Amino acid sequence: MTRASNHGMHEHDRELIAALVEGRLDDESEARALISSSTELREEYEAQKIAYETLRSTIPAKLSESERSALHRDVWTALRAETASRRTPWYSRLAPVAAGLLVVIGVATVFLPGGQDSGGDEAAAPLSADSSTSASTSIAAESEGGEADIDDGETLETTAQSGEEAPADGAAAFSSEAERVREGDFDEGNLETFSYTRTSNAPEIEECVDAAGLRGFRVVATLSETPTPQESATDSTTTTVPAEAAIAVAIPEDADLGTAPVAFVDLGTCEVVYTDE
Amino acid sequence: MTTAAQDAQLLARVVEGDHDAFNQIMRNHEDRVFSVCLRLMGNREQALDATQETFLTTFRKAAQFKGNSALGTWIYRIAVNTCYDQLRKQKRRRTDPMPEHIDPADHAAEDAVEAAALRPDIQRALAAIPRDFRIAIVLSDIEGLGLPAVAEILGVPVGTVKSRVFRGRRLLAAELGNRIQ
Repeated sequence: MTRASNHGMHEHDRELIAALVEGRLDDESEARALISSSTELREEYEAQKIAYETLRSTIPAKLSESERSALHRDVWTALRAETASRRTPWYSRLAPVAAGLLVVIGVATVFLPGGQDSGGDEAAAPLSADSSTSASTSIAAESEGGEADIDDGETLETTAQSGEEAPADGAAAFSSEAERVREGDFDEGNLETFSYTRTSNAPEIEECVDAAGLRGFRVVATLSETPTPQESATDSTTTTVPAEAAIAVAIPEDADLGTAPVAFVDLGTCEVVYTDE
Repeated sequence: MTTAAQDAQLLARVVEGDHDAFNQIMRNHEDRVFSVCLRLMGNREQALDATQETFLTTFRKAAQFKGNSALGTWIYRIAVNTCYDQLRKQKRRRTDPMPEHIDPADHAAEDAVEAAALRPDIQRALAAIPRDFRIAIVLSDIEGLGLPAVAEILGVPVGTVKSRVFRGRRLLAAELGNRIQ
């Protein structure tokens, strides 16, 4: 007989009392004799019986018909939203911003005094690498696919497509971003349209990177849309996972940042969107 | 009553993109998932949220189901973990206990709430006992699941479940006794 005690009670006694309470015994004589043998055991039996009968008398809950249909509706709404967001590449969410930027640049080029002559130089200025605190990002948005216009290593260009696959030139854009990362040039606020946020080992991000098949990689930053000033002001509790985080930037665990291959992982789908050779 | 084989077949169809199959899985298990969540959370609205989250997780992880246990067991395990998560979050932002949501225009909902309502003293007694004991007696004594199934859902040995059920009942009786006094 096992003597694992539970408040001084033998395990066998406990088993016997439970079986008696649940009505599982063909022959109850041993159990009845047991509970008659001491006050403690009788009290235990009575407590068990009260609890068991109280619980067994409880009817398992059921959904009402309205709750049931709401449940089905809400589950499918959520699943469709997830599917839709997976089908939409992160960069396509920037299409409106890109379109706006193009319009502004176009208008400025045409109407600003001297725009025709010096516009090229002026436009290139914010893209140059001489500032350690800011650089601008230009984005070409095309609703039916097309080429992004990459002109130097300091520019992240994104083409928004209605389809599911990244444009071929997206690789070039990421390649230049990888270069930026290797140079350690990803402090917060570096870019105007995107920002890099240094991150700690936020488990959600690490899990997402693992899920993307990059076990052994460490996340050095996340790439996100820069919130508007108003949003920034209200979001004073920035944690390890930026609310707008879109892309995790990861390098192999032991690699030196200056020479490491850099991978970009879409945090919406946990898929690698770009990796160096 | 669905068999494990039928459930596994349904899940395979879900993985292939058959939405009707997932609806069928939901219909097969939603009442029990909801019931377990309601007993754990003590709040109908939160139980509904947890039920929804359980099925979202089930859908997302459908391809990961290995078939080592019954589909129901797997789903209830997801449900228990979802409820635990929500209870942890709830601890951080304490809410009023048991605001049962009833739409007065919906008599079916009213009936269902009434039928499922635990006596307040039982609900309070359940809420007063440690979570591990509570879930063990909810699954075993209210939902009527066998000890091996409860053990699988909770990921603990059958002996541990026996012990938790026994001690859970004792604690519940003590709580009920205290309330009566």
